[in-house]
Amino acid sequence: MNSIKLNIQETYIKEYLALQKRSDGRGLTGFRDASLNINSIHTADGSSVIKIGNTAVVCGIKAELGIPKAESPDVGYLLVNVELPSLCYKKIRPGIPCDEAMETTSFLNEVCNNCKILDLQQLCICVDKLVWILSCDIYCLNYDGSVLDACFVALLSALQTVKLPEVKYDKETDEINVIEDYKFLKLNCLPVASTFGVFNDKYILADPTEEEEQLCISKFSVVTDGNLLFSLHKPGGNYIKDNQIQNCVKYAKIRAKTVHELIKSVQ
Amino acid sequence: MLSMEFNNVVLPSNDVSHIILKGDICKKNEKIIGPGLKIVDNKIFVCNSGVLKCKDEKLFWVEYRKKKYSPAKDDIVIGIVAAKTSEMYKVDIGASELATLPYLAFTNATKKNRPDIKLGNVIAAKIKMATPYMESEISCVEYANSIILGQLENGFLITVNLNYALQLRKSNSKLLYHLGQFVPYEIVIGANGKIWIKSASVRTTIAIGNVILKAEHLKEEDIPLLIKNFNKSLNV
Amino acid sequence: MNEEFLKCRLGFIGNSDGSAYVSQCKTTVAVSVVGPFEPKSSKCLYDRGTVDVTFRRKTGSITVHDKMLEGIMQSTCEEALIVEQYPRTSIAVTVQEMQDRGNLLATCLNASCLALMDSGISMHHLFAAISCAITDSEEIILNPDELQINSSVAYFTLVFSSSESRQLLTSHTTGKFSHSIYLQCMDKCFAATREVFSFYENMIKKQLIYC
Repeated sequence: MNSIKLNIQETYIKEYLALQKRSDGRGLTGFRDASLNINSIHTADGSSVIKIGNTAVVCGIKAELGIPKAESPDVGYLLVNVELPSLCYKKIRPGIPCDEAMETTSFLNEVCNNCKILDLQQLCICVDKLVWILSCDIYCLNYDGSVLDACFVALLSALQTVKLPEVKYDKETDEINVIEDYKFLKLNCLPVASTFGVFNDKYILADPTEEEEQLCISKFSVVTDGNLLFSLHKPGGNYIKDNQIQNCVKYAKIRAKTVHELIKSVQ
Repeated sequence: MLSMEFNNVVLPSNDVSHIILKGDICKKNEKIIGPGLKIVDNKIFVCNSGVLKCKDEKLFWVEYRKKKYSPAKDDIVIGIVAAKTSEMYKVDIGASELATLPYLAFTNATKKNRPDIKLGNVIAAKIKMATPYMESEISCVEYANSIILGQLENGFLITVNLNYALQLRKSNSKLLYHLGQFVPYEIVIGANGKIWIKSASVRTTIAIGNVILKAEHLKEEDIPLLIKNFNKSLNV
Repeated sequence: MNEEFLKCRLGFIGNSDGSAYVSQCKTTVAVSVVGPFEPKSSKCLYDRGTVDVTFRRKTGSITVHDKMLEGIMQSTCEEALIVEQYPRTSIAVTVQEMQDRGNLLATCLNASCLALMDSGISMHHLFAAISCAITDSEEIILNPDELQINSSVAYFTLVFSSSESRQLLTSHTTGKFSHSIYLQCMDKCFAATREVFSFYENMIKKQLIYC
């Protein structure tokens, strides 16, 4: 039975935690090593592949021209979609998108809108007529915990590789001219997510693996750019203590800086 | 915060160990806690919102409203036969799943002499075994001085709140006594909130059922008036 | 917070095992709880009960964002219930939006807590959700209205349990903010949850007088 298996794992992991160690050799607040590769998909306008521990996520961005919404004629679109296919994790069934994929999609879109990651006005070509639509597709290749963290890094680094050409639009003739003068997008901020697993009221595990996520009583995600906070997301589960929140925020801010360095180093 | 005392409202996560144990840990073995209370780490917590009750400084429980029946051993319940297999009946007693009633669990039943109960028939039975991990088992075997169990025929079944059913089962229920002074009737009240009524005519049976349903939210002093109206409606 | 702010009717659906109709300011939701009942064998767990929360909009269909709210409600409800006491069963909670004028998530969570209390299912603790908005001048507004939410720089929904110590169960935030202001909001919201819990207590008192 499921509970017996969990019980054995829990006693095992508890012994490790008492020594301030985890089964893969990390300390309690250690994050897994990350490696990043950009522009790996040539058919996309911007792309990146990130691997944090065993969690692997690929992000591709396609830029298209479209007509803006009537209520906001001078802004373009940034559409983020996360897919967790059944190949990445045994518990995901093929077919309709699973709840977790939908929750992650919604969370990413919300944070992108809140912190204005991108000035959407720079995507406007002609008011009320033509704007850029950036569709960001994030695909999980291997699910080993903390997928949200990987999604954020993938999205940011992919956005930084997007080069948009200048487009001339003639209002009278509806003629579109693409000039081969590519420019990078300007990002306002670089939000980095850090997921923590609350094991019990004593231990907090940074960047939990899939196995640890199953044993943890709740998950807690901090999104920050190293200075301001963009989200403290805790979707239910067991309670978290005040000083645990403070520690999490502290570690998340340090993590944000290391991730920023990683993104800079590949450019 | 609310003051925690007996006959007061308590909410889940309230720690009531200090008022139940009242400091004397040595007498802990003599105290019995009932529904709505649980023990975690030697402390007694409330887990249902309701009124904390106490009897003889010994029995403690929380009285709360509930609609879904959860089987308890030795309860008398009323059920409807929902399915038949080669060995047993499956009976709907209003719990989370169907209860099993073996063919042999009837008075005087043998392998050859099987009870003749069809799908949809109403039976009164006693719960023999109840655990959340298995289907509960019920039986219709009657013992000396037990109430009559088995199939209930030619009656009418109504469903009420569990708390109200328990209230009616108390021997001092005024309503049933007063009703009986006007018309003779038979009634079986199951602990699962199902009530079976039978009287001389269909008209009176339905009228009695309606009175019982109406009386749920009435105060004790309003009951005579209700019964007066009931008597009038019978004589029209 | 006063009587005007929270209004509730318990047990308004006769056929479900527990129900609550809650309005908080101008936002109204209806919640019904059914169960514990026997689920499909694929959903059945042998050592615990499962909790299923369904969120419905007025229009019937829901978006990806609503799915996230549903997930938050589900894990908050599941943690509050003693699921080990109901093995091999399922508990269905249906949340129906009636009118949304801001603070929808907080209202939904409070309503589901009241409906679960009404159903008589055993619970570890109760929970209360409070929303607050932060203005440009770093002012904290508890239970903001729609206009205040739209003009705020950050908007939080925090859920605390009814235990005596401060236990944050759920946190959902939008907008930019600093850590110190978040801590201030936690203090204010925690103080406000006490009033919600006393409201819960009054509801139970009223309910028990009737029977």
